Amino acid sequence: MAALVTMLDLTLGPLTCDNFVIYRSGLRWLVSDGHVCRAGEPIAFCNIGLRSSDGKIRSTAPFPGEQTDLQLTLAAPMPGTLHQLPDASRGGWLDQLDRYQHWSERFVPGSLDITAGADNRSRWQLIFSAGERMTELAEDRSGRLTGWRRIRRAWHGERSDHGTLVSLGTCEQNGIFLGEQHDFSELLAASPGSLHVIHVGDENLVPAAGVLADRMRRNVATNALLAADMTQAVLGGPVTPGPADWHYAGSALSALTRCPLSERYDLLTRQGLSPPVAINAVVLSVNAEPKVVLRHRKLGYRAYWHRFRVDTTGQAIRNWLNVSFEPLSRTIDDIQTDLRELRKLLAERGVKHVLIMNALSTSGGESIFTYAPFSQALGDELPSVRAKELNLMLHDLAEETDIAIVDVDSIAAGLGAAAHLPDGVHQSGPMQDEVRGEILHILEQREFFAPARAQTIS
Amino acid sequence: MLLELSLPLINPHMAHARVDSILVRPDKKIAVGQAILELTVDLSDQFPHDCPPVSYYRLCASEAAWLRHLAIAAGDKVAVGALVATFSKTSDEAVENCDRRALRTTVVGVTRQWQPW
Repeated sequence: MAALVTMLDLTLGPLTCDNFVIYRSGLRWLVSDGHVCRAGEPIAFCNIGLRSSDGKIRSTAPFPGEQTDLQLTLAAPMPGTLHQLPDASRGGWLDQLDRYQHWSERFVPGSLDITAGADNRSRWQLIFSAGERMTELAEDRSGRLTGWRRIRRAWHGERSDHGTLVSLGTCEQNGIFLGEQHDFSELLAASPGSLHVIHVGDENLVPAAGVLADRMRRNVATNALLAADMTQAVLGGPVTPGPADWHYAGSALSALTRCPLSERYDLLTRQGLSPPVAINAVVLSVNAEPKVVLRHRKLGYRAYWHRFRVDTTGQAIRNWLNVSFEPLSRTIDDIQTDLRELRKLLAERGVKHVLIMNALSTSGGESIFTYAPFSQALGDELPSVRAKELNLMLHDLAEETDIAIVDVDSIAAGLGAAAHLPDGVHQSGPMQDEVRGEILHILEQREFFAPARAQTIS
Repeated sequence: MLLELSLPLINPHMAHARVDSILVRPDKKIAVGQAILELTVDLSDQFPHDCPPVSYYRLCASEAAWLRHLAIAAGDKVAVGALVATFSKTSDEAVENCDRRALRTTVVGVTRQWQPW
């Protein structure tokens, strides 16, 4: 006998913010009419704005630098078949700019056909996302968290008891955190508690431990010195900077003088606007620790950019890097010292959990029968030996300080590195799922999710 | 006995490698463990890639042999399976009409020294 089906109208539900009126755009559907939704599946999104009563967004409004792209995703609260209502989406700019509609908690953008008697909630689940653009010129309204951004972040919107997790690493962390749709949906869906996640890419500065520590130690005065020196060096060099130089210089200066671990992060949820949140956990990667970083000859700060990024910029930037910096070779012990110092700085900022992803320590491409051709210390010459030494260093570090190792090496071995981690850094989707699950498991074990929020998010 | 060295498939996603340097000379003997070639494998030459997976390898002999003929030059882009060099077990044996097999080699990933831009 077929199960009885009932149609359930789902409202937007309440969303308020003291002293501000919440505006929104029309909805952009992520799935088609008639789509069979999973519980928690994102089905539509809109832009929202927190405006004063006169309709303006003041400079003192929450989400500084993020107001233009504050987005809200509706997710299915239970499984069911979607029926889109025709006036939920208005198309064009009316679905991209927040200023055309007020938030109305009773508005029904769509309904779900659900099995009669199933757990039926009356409103859509909310997931928020935000991210400061690298520059306002990088406007890209094609989707969620699209365009070039300094930072991308997202959070569950039903409750306000979030743990805040920051991802700072190389490109291997992009897929683990952002997921296949680049919107954090897999991570948020798999999280056992309320989560606020922040991801910082490495394109404008690679967050090696020493680079990050120097960034955390700089203040307004030292940042001003750095900026003045960089300006003089780039403009005073033998080559007139071209467009690629200016783009690179702007993003590098932004990354060198601002630290994602020291920024203000506002959150809006069903429970209103939260005070700026503290960072509870940071995920780093040992793949962000190159053998050589750059050290500024005059000011002493450390920096590192991927070679392929520098290769595509202009000669003025390459000249700046060649003249103003010197290569700083680092032993495994040096890297351990940098990570220890960084852990200390993070603890002083109240970061309770530091997770470090280890490296793939074997290479299927190698067939070493003799080490006779290698005269130096093997780790200096052979990446697979260096990876083993880095992984061992992490274990030594974990014995003396409070870090957790995300054993990417073991996950790759279990899944098959040739198929899932062919170049040692770029992972397959299934491997990203496994590493993501391992990170959440470690956080749960370490009680990152407070007891009140260690429940299924629904 | 002739010993042929062809470009091995180091990574299942590669089709070519660039020869960065040749570390042996014709008519000279190579010892067990001696480096023969240094190679760059850039998987992004198969498809555009924002973060190019570039790896560096060294190809070494795992048996002694005499280099009789080099089929490549530094800077060449060599296809997987292409003949790179021919060796023999002794210095004076004929290189035509004799038995052939693959030279036994070791492939190892290596790091490169820092270079300014």
